[in-house]
Amino acid sequence: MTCDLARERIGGLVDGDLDSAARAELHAHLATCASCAALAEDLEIVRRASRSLPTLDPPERVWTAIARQLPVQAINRSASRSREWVKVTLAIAAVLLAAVAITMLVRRGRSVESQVAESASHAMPSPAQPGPQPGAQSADSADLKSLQSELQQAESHYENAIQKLETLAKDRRTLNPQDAAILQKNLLLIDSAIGESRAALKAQPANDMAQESLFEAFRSKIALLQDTISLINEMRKGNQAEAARIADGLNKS
Amino acid sequence: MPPSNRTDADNAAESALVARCRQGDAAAFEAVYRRHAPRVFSLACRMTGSRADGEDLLQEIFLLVHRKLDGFKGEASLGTWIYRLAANCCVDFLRSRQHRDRQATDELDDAVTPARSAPGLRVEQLDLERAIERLPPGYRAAFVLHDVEGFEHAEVARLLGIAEGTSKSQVHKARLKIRAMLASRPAMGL
Repeated sequence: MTCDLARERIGGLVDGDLDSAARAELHAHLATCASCAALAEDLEIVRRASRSLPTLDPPERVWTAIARQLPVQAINRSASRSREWVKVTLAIAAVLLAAVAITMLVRRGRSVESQVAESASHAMPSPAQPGPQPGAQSADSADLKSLQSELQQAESHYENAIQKLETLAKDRRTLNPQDAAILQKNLLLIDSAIGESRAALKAQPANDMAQESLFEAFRSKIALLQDTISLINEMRKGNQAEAARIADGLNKS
Repeated sequence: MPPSNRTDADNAAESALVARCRQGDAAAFEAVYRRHAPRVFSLACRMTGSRADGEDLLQEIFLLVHRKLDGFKGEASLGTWIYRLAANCCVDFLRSRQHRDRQATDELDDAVTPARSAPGLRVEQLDLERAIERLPPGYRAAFVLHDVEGFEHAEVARLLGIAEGTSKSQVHKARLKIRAMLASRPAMGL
């Protein structure tokens, strides 16, 4: 083997790329040629030293510069929060649907009940039997209990939805003080209406008006909280026009 | 690339960190930076042969990481993903400078001859770093990726857009030049 050929192959030897025959041939040459042997040894030293070079620590100013250029992050966070809000809102919508369904069942039950009572009063107005039969009294009591239970269930669904919305609507830092004050005032009014309806319903559990008034107050509170969340979202997105439109609606409500 | 001994716990911790980054958690992104920046910075400095360019590239790479993190599928480790992104950025940077440096490369090619002035090559880390800095950019890129960073020639060739044989040839020539520079330190200003 000539020195020229040996020098060509030394790179392969250092990389471990040579097959056994070529390696043996090269080693035979290196054993007799000090110059080529020194070259092979040095290149191996360079390769090993290069592989063990330490990592370099960047100066702190690089991170400072990067951190300064990450306002995009806030936008991503906002978008991510919006996605989370959509999920929560969908969950709340499902809860509300259940509440509305139960409310309708309660109303239908009440309507059938009053029709039965009305037809019964027309069919049997007998002075000889002024009071209801013992069996009928027991059935009425069971119906009332069932009605109260369904009412409580609907109320609990509304309260659940309201609680979740209140959590979302709590962070009102992005709102201007005027809008925040109007929201607070409206919420207090609705809470007061809820309290009054509850008190009326407690005194007269079968009172249609009190029941409807309570559910109406719940629906108003949910609508107000949903508007609050939309307003916070639009403010965060920097969508001033849409935010102003929602705020205007809140002022009128 | 060097093998990584990753455990399930490492993978879980990394997934959690990536999830936090995607949610816009700045502290999580800083943790990613602190963990991976030194390796990326080393690669960028050595590939470009300049700490100033290394700093600029490090900044550019991590802003890119931040933008592209949503596309990270977790098929490789986060470190590997960042590192490949970094290697591609470094190569793009070198390509953008290539036409400017070609003349200097040719001159340096002719100026350095392989030689050994004394038996047994002595390698000081600082001298080696300086010798790598003085390599022609094409040789330096292949040498850093292969000998310093541990990529296979096939991978170096793919990253640099050259033939595998060219990668082998460039790495070999880079070693010869480094040997010559280290063997004649005063003459080379090392």
